[in-house]
Amino acid sequence: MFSIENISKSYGKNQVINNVSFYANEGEAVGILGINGSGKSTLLSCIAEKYAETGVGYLPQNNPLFDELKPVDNIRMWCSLKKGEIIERLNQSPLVELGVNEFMDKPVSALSGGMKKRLSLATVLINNPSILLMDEPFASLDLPAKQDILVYMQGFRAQGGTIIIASHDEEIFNFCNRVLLLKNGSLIDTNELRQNGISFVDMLRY
Amino acid sequence: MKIYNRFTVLTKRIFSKKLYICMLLLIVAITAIYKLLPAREKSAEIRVGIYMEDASDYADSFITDISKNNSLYIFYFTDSEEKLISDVQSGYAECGYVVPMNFFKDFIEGTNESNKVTLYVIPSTTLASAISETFFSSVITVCSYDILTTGTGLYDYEDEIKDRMDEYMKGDELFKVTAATDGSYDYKTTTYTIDLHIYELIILLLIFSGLLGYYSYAKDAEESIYIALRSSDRFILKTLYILTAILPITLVGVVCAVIASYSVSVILNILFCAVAVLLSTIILSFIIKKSTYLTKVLPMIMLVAIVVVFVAGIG
Amino acid sequence: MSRTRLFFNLIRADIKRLGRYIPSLLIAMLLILTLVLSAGSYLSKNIYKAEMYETAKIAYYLDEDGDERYINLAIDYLGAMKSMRETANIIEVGSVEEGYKLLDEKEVLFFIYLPAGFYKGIMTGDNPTINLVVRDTTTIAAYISNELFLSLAKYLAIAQAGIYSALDTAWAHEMSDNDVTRINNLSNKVFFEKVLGKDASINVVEATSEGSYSLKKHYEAAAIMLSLLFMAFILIPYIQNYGSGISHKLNAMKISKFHIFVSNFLCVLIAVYITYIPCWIAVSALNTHFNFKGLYTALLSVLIIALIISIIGSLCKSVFSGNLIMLFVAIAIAYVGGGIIPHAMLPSVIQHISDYMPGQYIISNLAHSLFG
Repeated sequence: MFSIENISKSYGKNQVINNVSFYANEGEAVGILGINGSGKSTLLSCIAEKYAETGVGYLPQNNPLFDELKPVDNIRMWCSLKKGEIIERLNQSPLVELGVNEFMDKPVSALSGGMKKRLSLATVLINNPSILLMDEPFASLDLPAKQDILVYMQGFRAQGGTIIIASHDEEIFNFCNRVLLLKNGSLIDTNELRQNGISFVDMLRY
Repeated sequence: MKIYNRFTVLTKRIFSKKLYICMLLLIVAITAIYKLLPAREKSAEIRVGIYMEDASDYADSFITDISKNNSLYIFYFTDSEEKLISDVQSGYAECGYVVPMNFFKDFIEGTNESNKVTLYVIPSTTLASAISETFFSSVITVCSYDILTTGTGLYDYEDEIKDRMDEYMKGDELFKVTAATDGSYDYKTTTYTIDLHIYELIILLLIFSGLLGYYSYAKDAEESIYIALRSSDRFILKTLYILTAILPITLVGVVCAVIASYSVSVILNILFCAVAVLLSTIILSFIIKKSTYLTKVLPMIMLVAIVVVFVAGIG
Repeated sequence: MSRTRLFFNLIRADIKRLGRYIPSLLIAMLLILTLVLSAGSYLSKNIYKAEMYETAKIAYYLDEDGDERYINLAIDYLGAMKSMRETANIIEVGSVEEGYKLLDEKEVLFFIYLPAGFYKGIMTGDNPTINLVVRDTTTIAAYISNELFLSLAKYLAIAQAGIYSALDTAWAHEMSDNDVTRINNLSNKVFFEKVLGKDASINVVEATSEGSYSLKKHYEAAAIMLSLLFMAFILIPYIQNYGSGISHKLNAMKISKFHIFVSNFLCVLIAVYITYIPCWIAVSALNTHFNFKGLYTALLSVLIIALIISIIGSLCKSVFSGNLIMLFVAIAIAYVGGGIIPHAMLPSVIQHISDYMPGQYIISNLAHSLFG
């Protein structure tokens, strides 16, 4: 079990995250739901910072890629492996499913949004993290690209990996085992609310 | 209305760059501070180096006399001949004098044919002869008593002659040059000041801001954000980018010109330059269309601009 | 992955990114060198100019008093002064009106009207008034000429004091008329000989020494310094081309802005040094003297330049403001360091500040590295 405890963050007088704690079991996907500006990205980056030593993999909303470099150099940026080792890993399961090998020769600036997201995911997964923090993984992706990422996430979860996803995309929450609502700096378990028939839209609105 | 909106947005974009606005305010502040400085701090110092090998009493009197002189030239003393030569060669000093051992004694006796003052100059030194007059006026002042005694043979009345000369020098009977223009030759307190080259800096910033304004447009255009606009709209937009980049500098230039009490012609020059930069950058935009090409030629354009602006300014 | 490892990876990625900017840097530097070398003779004639003084035209009118011996003595005295010949262009006019006319027409800067019996009056202590009219009191030529007149007046005064003192002494001791006449003649002669013969007491030498550089070389080094600073126009976009995703993730993994700055600085240092090498090659080839020591002695200047570029590139959020601030800083450094206007022509306050600014030290270091 991955236990997150006592996360707080404020920007000046504005308390964005207020002593938040929750847990995620092995092989579980936990969704963090919230409106724009509720602090989802802030929460995820705080978790990434606090638990950086425990091998957490963090994928921010904006792709952490250098446009001027090739894909393999971008992956190399985030790991200790040599080029040959990286290419070997990308050709093996489970990374081969990301399909990054198809565009290894193109500079990042020439890649599509979906390719960039897959590459970004590869930069995180190359280190075999057991916990994955994903911030808006489906932002600006088309349906096929979303599907590819989703399939990969399912495989990762099936192998015992833990995923924590921040999003406001309903499709993701169908994938998640649990969904927590971030409102006014605190987390609320939406299980009971869903059982009472309240939709995600209404949860966000009210 | 569209043009006005775009103009407003682009201007806001420029003014949102805090460090850049701080730099513009700093230029105004520097101009204002310089204006308030006393004239002495704003005048040029024509430095003249002296290395004194002579260790006699004459040398001490000479150092005292030349140090208290209130002339245009600032005489300073170095610890070595090498330092003196280095200062002259680098342009720090206009020229430099090396006074050899026993020079004063030999000068008085007229036996200094092989014991001369060495005057170090560089090819561009033009004031050496004029400065030498001031230099030698102190030499002759210091040696005057002994020159007279030696020249007339009145050795027995040495002290008497010295006293009489001192009295005459302090009195009103001698020929004097006095200021005929109501103190205007008190250059260190009244008229002779050098303007800080703010005008040249503004011109260079104008040229460069125009180029960078175009660079910003080219970069944005390369990201295809204006691809849906008609070519006439894109041309207007390009012009607005350049114009809004130039405007803050033009404003600062006019403010600085007013603070520094430049003439109206200087202010008009700044405005004229702003228009010229706008037009020439637009013309350049038809030749250099990619931002990457512009970055390659920018350093060269700037170096040329500095040479032209500053050389034209002092030429 | 440890933070140290990640930092190392960042530096490596930055160096790799730099590879795409090096061609632009080299092209820019080659363009500058081509321009500077081809325009070199024009630049050396104009930009190295340390002359701040143009010869002043001075008109004089000497009223006839019938004694040509005194008139000629006065004229010869002025004309014999090398300083007058080099500093002023003296022309005689036929009347006071003509002198004023030339002043009004701006043909001359000064007009001196020597009254009748001027020299005789000096000798007898009447000290007649010279009229010295100047057209413009604000030019340096006026001040230089004024200094000259003051010096010449001082000589006259000393000579007068000497002659009077000698005569007074002779009379006080009741010397014979012959002795008084002899002393009078000697005291006249001795001062004028000293004043007119003082140029023979000066040995003019051109200042050259090992370790020192001519003004021309000083400005060549200044031009190289400016060129290296202007590489910022290519390097600032490089520094700022970090996507927000990268910065975000680096911060989350405890790589702070300072680490990013250090990585950028190291890469900018490499870039500036690479751009320095063509300058070194060009200057060495022109002087047919390859100073290999200059390849590492220039590191200090390269370091300071790289630091300036890195700081400005990191602090500014956009290429526009970064480049304009860089231009301002580059010109300020060069100006205060005496790299654009000769040091002697800078205002006094700037000359004092110059000792605390990096400009003159960078120029001096580059001159040593390039010229040996």
